[in-house]
Amino acid sequence: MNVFEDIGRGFRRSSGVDAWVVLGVVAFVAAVCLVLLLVRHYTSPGARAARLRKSVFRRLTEANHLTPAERDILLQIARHYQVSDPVELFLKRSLFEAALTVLKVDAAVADPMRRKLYT
Amino acid sequence: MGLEATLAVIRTLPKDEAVSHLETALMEPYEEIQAEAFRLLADPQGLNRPEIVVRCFPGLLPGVRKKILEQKWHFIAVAREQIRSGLEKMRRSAYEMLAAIGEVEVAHLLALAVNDASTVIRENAADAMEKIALRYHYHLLNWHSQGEERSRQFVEQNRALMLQALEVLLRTFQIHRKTLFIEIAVEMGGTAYKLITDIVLARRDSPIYRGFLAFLERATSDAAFDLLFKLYFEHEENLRQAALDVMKGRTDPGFLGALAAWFAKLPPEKFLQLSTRVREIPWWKIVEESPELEPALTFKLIEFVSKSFVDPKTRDSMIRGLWKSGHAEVRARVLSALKELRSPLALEVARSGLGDASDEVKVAAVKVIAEAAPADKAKLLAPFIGSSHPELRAIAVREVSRESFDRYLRSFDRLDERTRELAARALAKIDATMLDRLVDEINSMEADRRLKALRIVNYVEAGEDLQPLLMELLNDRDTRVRATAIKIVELSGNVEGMRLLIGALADPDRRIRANAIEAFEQLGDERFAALLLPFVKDPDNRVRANAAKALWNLGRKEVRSTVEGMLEDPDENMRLSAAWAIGELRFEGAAPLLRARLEREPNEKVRAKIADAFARLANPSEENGG
Repeated sequence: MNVFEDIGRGFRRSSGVDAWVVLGVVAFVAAVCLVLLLVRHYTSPGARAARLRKSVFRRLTEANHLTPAERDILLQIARHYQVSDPVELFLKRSLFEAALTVLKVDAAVADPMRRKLYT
Repeated sequence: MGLEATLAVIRTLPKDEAVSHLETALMEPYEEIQAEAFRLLADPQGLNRPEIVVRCFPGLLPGVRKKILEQKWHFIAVAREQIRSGLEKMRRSAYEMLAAIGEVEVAHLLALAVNDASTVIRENAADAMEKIALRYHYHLLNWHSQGEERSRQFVEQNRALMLQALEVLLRTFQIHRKTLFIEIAVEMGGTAYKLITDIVLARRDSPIYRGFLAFLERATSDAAFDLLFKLYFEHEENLRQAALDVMKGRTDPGFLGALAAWFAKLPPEKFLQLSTRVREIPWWKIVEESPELEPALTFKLIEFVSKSFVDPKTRDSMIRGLWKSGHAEVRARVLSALKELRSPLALEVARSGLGDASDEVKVAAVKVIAEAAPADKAKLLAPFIGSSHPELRAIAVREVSRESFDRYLRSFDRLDERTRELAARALAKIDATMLDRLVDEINSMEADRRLKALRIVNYVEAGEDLQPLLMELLNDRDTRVRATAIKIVELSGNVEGMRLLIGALADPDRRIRANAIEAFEQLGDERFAALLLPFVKDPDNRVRANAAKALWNLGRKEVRSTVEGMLEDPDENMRLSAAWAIGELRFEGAAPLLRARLEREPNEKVRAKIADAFARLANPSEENGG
C-alpha cells in the first residue's frame, strides 16, 4: 500500500505539464496496440474466410435473385441449425426443407424461394 | 437463377472450397443436386475428383449411379486405389460401388473384400459376389443345358476374371461359407480343375472340402460327373479318395438317371475310354436298389459295367443284380449282356428266363441257351416249338432240328442208303433252316462234309434251291464233289440242273467250261457227246483239249484228228494242250506222232510237255490235269 501512496504523492508533487505528457504517451501506445490488434484480426485466416463467406453469400443471393426478406430467412435457418457457412444452404436443400417446418415459414414465401434456389 | 447459377458461383471459388461445397451437394438426397455436383466433380477436364464421387457412393441416388455405370472403367480404377487405402469408410464406399456395378469385371476386386479386416465389408462383399456369381452361374448352366449362344459368349468373355475371383473366394471359404462358388468351380469344368485340386481338396478336414463333397453328393450336372470321374482317375490318392467318397455317398434316386444320361451324351470313344479304365463301381448298389429305373438308362449302365475292368466275377454279379428289374427289356438286356460277356452266369440266368412272363426275355434266354448248347438244349427248347411267338418258335425249331441234324450227320456213314434218304426227308419237313445248314456244310473246308451235304441235297431234292452253289461246285477241287454235284443234277432229272450244267459249257471262264466238259465226261453218258462236239473248236486250248478228251472217252474216236490238228497249230498253247491230251487219250500211233513233232518243235515248253506225254504213255496209271 505504501508503494501506491508514494506514486500518488509523486504525481501530486510533479508539475501539471509532465502528467499530461505521460498520459498522452500511454494513450498513444494503447491506440497503436489497438490498431495492431484490429489489423491482425482483420488479416487472420478466419476473418478472411468469414469475409469470403459473406461475399459468396452475397453473390449467391444476387445470382438467385433473392429478396432481402428471403436472404434473412436463409440466415435465420443458418442460425437455427448453427450452420457456420450459410453458403451451404444454397446446396443443402434437405436443411432448407426441414427448416421450413421448424421455423413455420409460410408456403407463399417458401415456394418461390425453393424455385429460385433449387431448380 | 437456381442450381445452375449457384454452381456458376461455386465454380469461381478456390478449388478446395468449391470441392467442399460440391461434396456437400453430392450427399444431398436430391437427384438434380447430386447430378450437377457429379457432373462437375467427375469431369476430367474440370475439377476431376472422381474419388469424392466414389467416397460418397453410398448416398448416391439411382440416376447418378447410372451415370457411374456408364463410365464404370474410370470409376473401377478409382475404386481400386481406394481399396488400398487404410480407411475403412473409403474401402467400404469403393466396395459398395463395385457391388453396384455387379459385373464379373469387378469380381476379382470384390473377392479381395471377402478377406477384409472389416466384418461389414466382408459380409457385404460376399453377398455382392454371390449376386455376380449367380449371374455367371446362370449363364454357365444355360450354356451347358440349352447350348445358348449368348450365355456361351458371356461365360467365355468373363472366364478369366471369374477364375481370378474364384481363387480368392475359394481360399476364403471359411469366412463366407458360400457354396455357390464351389458350384461354379465345378460347373466351369477343366478350367477350374486346378483350383479344385489345389485349394478345395487340399485338406480333408477343411470346411471347403466338406462343402465340396456335400455339393457333389447332390450334383447331377454333366460337369459334375465329368469332374467326379476325372478325380477318380487321378493318381494322387487324396483326390481319388474324394471321388470315391462321393461315389459311395450317392444314394439319391436322381443320381442314376443323371449319370446314365451323361453316359449317353458322351462320344462313344470317350465312353469307352471311361468305362475301360474303371476297376470298381462303388455306386452300383443304388442301381440294384432301383428296379424301376428307366430301361434306356439301365441299358447304358449295363453297357458301362460290361466294358469296365471290374473283376469279371464281380462284374457278372453286378449285371445279374438287375435281373430283378420290373422292366422286361432290362431283364432281356441282362441276358444278352451276360451272353456277350460269355459269363458263366448266363446259362443259369437263361434257364430261369425260360419261365419269364415276357416273350422278349424268353427269346433272350433261348438265344443264350442256343449259344451255350448245354447237353439238355433240345429238352429245354422243345417246349417252345409250339410257341405263338414267331421268333421264339423259329429259334426253338432251328435249335432243336439243328441238334437233330447234327446227330443225323454224325450217324450218316452208319446208315444205309434208304434210311439216310428217309431221315433227310423227315428232317427237311420239320426244319425250315435245313437248307441253311446244308449251305454251311457245302461251304465247309472238308471235302467229306461237302460230299455228304451234296448227297443230302439230292435226297431232299433241293438242287433247284441251291443252283448257285452247285455251279460253284462244278469248280470244286475235289473230283468226287464235282462229280457228285453233276450227278445230282443228272440223277434227279432236274431240267434246271441240266440247264445249269450246259450253261457252264458256255461260261466265259475257260476253267468252268473245261470243268463242265470234264463233268460230262465223268457222267459217262454218250448222249451228251453231241453237246460237247462244238467245243473241239473252242478258241481256248484247254477247253478244246478237255472236249477232245471227253468225246474220246464217250466213244467219239474221230476227235483224234482234232488233237493232231492242235499239235500242228501255230499257237504254242494249243500245241501244249495237244501234247497233254495225247498223253491222256493214248491212242495208237500217239508216240510216233509226238516224236515227229518233237523233231520240229522249236518251243521249249512244248518240248517239255511232249516229254511229259511220253512219260504218261510209258506209265498209263498216272493221273494228271490238263
